[in-house]
Amino acid sequence: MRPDIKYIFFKALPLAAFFLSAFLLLSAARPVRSPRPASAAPALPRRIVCFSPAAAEVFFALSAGERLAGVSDYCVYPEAVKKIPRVGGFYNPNFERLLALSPDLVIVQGQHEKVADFCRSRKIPLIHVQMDSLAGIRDGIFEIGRITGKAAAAKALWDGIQRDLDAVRAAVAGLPRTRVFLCVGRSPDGLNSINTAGGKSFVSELLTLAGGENIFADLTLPYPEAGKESLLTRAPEVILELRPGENLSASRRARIIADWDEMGALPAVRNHRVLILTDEFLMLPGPRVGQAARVLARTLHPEVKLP
Amino acid sequence: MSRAMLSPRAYLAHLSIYAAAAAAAVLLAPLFGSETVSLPRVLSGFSALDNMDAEIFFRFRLPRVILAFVAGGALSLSGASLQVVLKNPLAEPFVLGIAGAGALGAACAMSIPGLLWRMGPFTTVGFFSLAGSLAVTGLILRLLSRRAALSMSTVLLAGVTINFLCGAAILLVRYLVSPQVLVAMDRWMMGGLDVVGFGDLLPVLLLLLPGVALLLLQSRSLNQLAFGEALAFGHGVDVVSVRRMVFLGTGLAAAAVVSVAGPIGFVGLIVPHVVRRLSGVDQRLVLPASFFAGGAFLIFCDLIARTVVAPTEMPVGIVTAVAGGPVFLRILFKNGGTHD
Repeated sequence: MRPDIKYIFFKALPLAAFFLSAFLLLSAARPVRSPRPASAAPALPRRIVCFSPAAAEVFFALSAGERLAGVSDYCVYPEAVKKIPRVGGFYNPNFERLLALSPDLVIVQGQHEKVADFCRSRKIPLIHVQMDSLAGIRDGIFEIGRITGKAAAAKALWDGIQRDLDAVRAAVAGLPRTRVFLCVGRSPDGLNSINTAGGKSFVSELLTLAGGENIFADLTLPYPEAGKESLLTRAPEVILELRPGENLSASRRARIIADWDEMGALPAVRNHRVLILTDEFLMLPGPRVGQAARVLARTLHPEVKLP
Repeated sequence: MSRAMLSPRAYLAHLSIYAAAAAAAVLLAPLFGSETVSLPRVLSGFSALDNMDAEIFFRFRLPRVILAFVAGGALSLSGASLQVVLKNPLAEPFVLGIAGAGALGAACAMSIPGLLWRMGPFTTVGFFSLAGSLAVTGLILRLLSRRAALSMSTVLLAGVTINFLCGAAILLVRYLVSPQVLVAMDRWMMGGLDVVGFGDLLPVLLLLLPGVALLLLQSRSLNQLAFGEALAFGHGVDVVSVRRMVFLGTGLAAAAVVSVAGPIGFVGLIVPHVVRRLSGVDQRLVLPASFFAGGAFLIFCDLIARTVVAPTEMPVGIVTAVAGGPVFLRILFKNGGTHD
């Protein structure tokens, strides 16, 4: 069909003109400049809003919890954090509350476009932390130490974590490495779409440190879906199903383990080594990472003595 | 392609080509997977604990290929029939609200505490999804029996509205649940065919096969219906009853597929169009050919989903659109896009 010249003149062009002018009007009406005066980050911010549970934990570990004016819905540890005003979660940040708290600094973990855009348009200083690996935890702790003027305490905190991790490393040194399949999520009704942790993820890093061997360590995505055929041929000795923060009844726990019977050909299932861990800090790359390593080491090697 | 009816010979020739393609897909696809299995070892013994090759082949690969075949076939056959009955080339199996209601059922089962359990091959996620889809089918059938003169565009709009309603309800559920459940719900919506063993297939087939049979039986009447309702009525076709049978068949088949594999898109919309472009509009051919072609297509897509990114897997719903979209566009515009 040849494009009709009349159609272009009477339909398409006016329509395009309409949308163009509407777009121009709307963008002109949008406030480009915030009414507040632009402010650089103050030397020591005192009204910090933190969207990262791990970073919020660091504030309390450095005894700087009083600097937090707001935290995300996901921040539940330590107990004192629950008294701080909530500013929503990842999908539903509460911008009104955020503004009302008049923060002088906002901290987010990784990509958080909604909040980042908001802070940019309101000229609120914003810091991204990247606490998703041991190195990231270190950087995050030092960064928060700098922000709060507690660099020495931050150094001491990280040294303590390193001592804990070294103790775990030393305890499992020389023991045979257990071949582990990490299950970090699956369809709630069975063994469909099983997600595991790739070699570069934080849990995998901890698992290696605690004397395990992640059978999917070769995967580069952080939390990819594991193919069942590959899972069968890689034959893990232990299946660790991580359900951080879940409160499981004994019967529910038994049902979760029974789900794995479908893959009875796996050594882990045959030898009843499907284990569920519910400690909420297992998937939380924060100051309690040493504790997490300890739990993993004790689970994989019950015989080791940890100080 | 202007011919409406095929000669018996041409009919058989076309149909046997589609059937052969489907048979080839069913036989060849299990030979490939993310892991290499040796066929002699597979055949040396049925699923013994020490024979991992047989375990993979018989319990993980074969059921999955068969599910892909029947699911793809059922979706595409449903789409083909609905496109005639609703007189709309955009009609597809989920257009009556079946996917929306199924997804809402699954979302509720996953997120409402205490609703989630498992009994043999049956899970409440599948069960609630099935219940949702069948409830919508029942609703449409009831509407139709109340008012025989109901126009098809009204039915279509009702279906679209039901899908929107369910979508909004799902958003509400999503807003309330924890992030872990959210991930599982998202994954469910992308569609997946990974079943374990033939036990998982049985409940699906019990609903799906009657639905498929019901649809195939309507092919002669649909031929008449395609020329217009008045004409079909004149030829002695009970138009209302044909519609009812098509909605019932689609409801059973699509509900069964959604309950086990999630809402896999694209197959039900596109494959019938491709079949009609290739083989004309004789419904006696289009319906079974859509079944075979849809089955083969979904097997192919699932093969891609489970091998290309091995040892991980892709959701099959992504592959159907990505693999099928360009092919369909090519066929659409091949002869100038001036047909229909």
